Amino acid sequence: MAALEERDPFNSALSRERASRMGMWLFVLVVGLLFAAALLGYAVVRVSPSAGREWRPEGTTGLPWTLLASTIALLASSLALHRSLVAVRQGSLAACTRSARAAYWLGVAFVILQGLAWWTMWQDVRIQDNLYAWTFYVLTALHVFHVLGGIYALGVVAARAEAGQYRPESHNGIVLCSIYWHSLDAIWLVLYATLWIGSR
Amino acid sequence: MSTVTAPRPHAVDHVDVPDNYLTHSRGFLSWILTLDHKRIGVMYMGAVLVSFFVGGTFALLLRTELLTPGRTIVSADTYNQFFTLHGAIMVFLVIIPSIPAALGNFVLPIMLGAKDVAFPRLNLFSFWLWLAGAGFTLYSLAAGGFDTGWTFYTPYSTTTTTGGVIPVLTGVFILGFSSIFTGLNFIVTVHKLRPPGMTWFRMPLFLWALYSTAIIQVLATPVLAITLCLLIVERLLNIGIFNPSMGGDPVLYQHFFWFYSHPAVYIMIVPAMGIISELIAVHAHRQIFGYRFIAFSSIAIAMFSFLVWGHHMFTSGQSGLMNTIFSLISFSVAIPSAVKTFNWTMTLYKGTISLTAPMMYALAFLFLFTIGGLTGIHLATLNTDVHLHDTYFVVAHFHYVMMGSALIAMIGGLHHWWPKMTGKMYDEKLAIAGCIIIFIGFNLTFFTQFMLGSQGMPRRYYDYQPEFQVYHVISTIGSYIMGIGFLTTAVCFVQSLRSGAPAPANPWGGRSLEWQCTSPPPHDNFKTTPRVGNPYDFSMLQWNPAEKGYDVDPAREAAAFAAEMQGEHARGHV
Repeated sequence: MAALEERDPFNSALSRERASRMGMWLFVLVVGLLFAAALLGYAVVRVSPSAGREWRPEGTTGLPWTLLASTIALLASSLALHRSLVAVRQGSLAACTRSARAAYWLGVAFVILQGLAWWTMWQDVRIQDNLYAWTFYVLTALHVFHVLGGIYALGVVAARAEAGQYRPESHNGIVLCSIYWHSLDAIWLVLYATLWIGSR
Repeated sequence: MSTVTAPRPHAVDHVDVPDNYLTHSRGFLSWILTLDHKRIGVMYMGAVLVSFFVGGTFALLLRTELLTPGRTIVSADTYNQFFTLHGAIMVFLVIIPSIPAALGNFVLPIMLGAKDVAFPRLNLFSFWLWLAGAGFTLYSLAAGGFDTGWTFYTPYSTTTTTGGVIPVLTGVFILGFSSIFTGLNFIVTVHKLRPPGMTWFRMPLFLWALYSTAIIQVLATPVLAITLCLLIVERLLNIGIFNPSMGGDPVLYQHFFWFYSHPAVYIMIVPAMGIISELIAVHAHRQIFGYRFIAFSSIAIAMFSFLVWGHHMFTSGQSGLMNTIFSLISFSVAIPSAVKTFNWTMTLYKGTISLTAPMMYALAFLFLFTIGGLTGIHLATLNTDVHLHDTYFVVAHFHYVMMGSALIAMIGGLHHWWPKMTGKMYDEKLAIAGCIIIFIGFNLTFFTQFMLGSQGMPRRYYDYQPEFQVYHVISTIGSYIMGIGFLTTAVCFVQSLRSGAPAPANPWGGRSLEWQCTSPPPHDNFKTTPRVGNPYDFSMLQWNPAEKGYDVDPAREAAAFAAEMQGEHARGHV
């Protein structure tokens, strides 16, 4: 019976860790489906504008260049978080903390740049003007909302790294945060590409 | 089975084991902050039953209004709110959470042999989300109610003047996340926390059903979430992608809505089928027939569920080719459903059937689900559906499946696990009387609606032609009888809580793991990791008259395990 006790996954930290990773992947799947449905809806109304309406009326501004800048910030943030994960696996805890902090601030930069993009758009089109504006504001807001959750998680990771809570053999928090953050990154790339093609 | 005439030696054991999950800690906070899946399940059950009472009251009110053509008790606008509230409450607050969140939470980890679900905090969070969602739904009543129907179809839902639309949409949005997190928790628990010996094919069929349901919850509910989110923004701003005057598409809303809500139908029925597999095998004391077929048919239904949503939209202007394809795929759902029904019937054949209340509910399910399922074929058939679309035939069909099957299975399951949940037996005769009254009332209410619908009475209407009145009167009388049946059942449960005899560990003769721990189970389910065998091998059980329950004959158990180990050696599994 004692052997049974030892093999019970409930008593094992490793199987708990695996369970948490699977849970995070499923959550990412949920978020991905949310965006997939939103983008599908966007594609449907974009491709078949009823009554011959123009999607982007003549003279309306295209997507602001600040979106491109925010994309770079987000990619850099992902890279920094990955470096932090590599560093903790190699045992260099100081480098891990540095990179985690960088990932956090680059995430904040993404949100600021997105705010600037909104401001640029707002000068020209309001959300109620047409579906081009409506979809832009709603879809980017939906993404930023998820990013804010990610930034909170990055803040926790950076603080825990600083407090020395991660070890080469135990750093599940960074792994979970990475799964979520890289996925948001990928979702943003698809979203941005879709909006860009749609604004043509 | 409930009367106690002689002092029972077993009762001493109950004094010896004071630590069960109900007595482990005390006070309101120890419940509302609990991480114990059993307590969370019990709280869900209480909340779902309260919602069921509210939704049922609206049902009786709207049936009363339909007693006569024209006005009977309320105005047309109030009637619109009644049926909307009845639908929304029953779907989102009662049937969707009833089996997975309430019974599933209580039973799943114990059946699996785990001490809890994978993420207990997330589980508690799901329950809070449920409370918040229910709170918003209640608040929508104070904010002016809503009359959109439970489907919230655009453009009506974005233009109606009733003030409660945004609160209820927010409520359903939040309830959706409660459902997603429960599903996520169950999938991970089943994958990662099975104890040694609990292979996939030793899992009781209820677990297969909950697992399939969880897959649908996780894959379909996000689509509902984004749809409601877009709808809320659209209603706030009077513009959006469902608004045709701006180039949007209202039929897109229907596609999105049914892409969730058709799978949601299987979120309701698949776990109910899982319960029926348990009830029939345990109360017929016979190895379930076709275990793998039943297990895989749950998965098959989960897969098919994503491919048939268009059959709700045959008259929406969808292209003829799409209609034909959706019609054909919808027929295929009949295959896994029939596989299950035939297997249950074969399990009953030559079984030693105990006509207990859970078995009575299981038999009622078989009868009602067969009618509900077969009338679904009329509706999947494109040309008959054009005639029957939006008539009472549809109402009758989905009540036979949603209520006659899903809810009946839930109540049957509640009877089955009641002794385990509360540690008390209930009055078997009263419970069976409740079941029979509900069964009679149900058929009076809804069978007449098949006739109404096939003769052309549209659903949701306030007024009707006088020739329909006789059916409406029979249907309303049936609903009152059903109300009496549910009251009888409620009295039975209250009586059990107040003065029920203590329940033995295994009152029915089940072999799945929950019957191996005490009633009610201890705080962390199992003192030691349980030994897992075939959950439907009842051969080693014997009736223990002193305990008024079943226990295991050690000699036969040893023999069964030895035979099983030999089999595994032969297959090279050890």
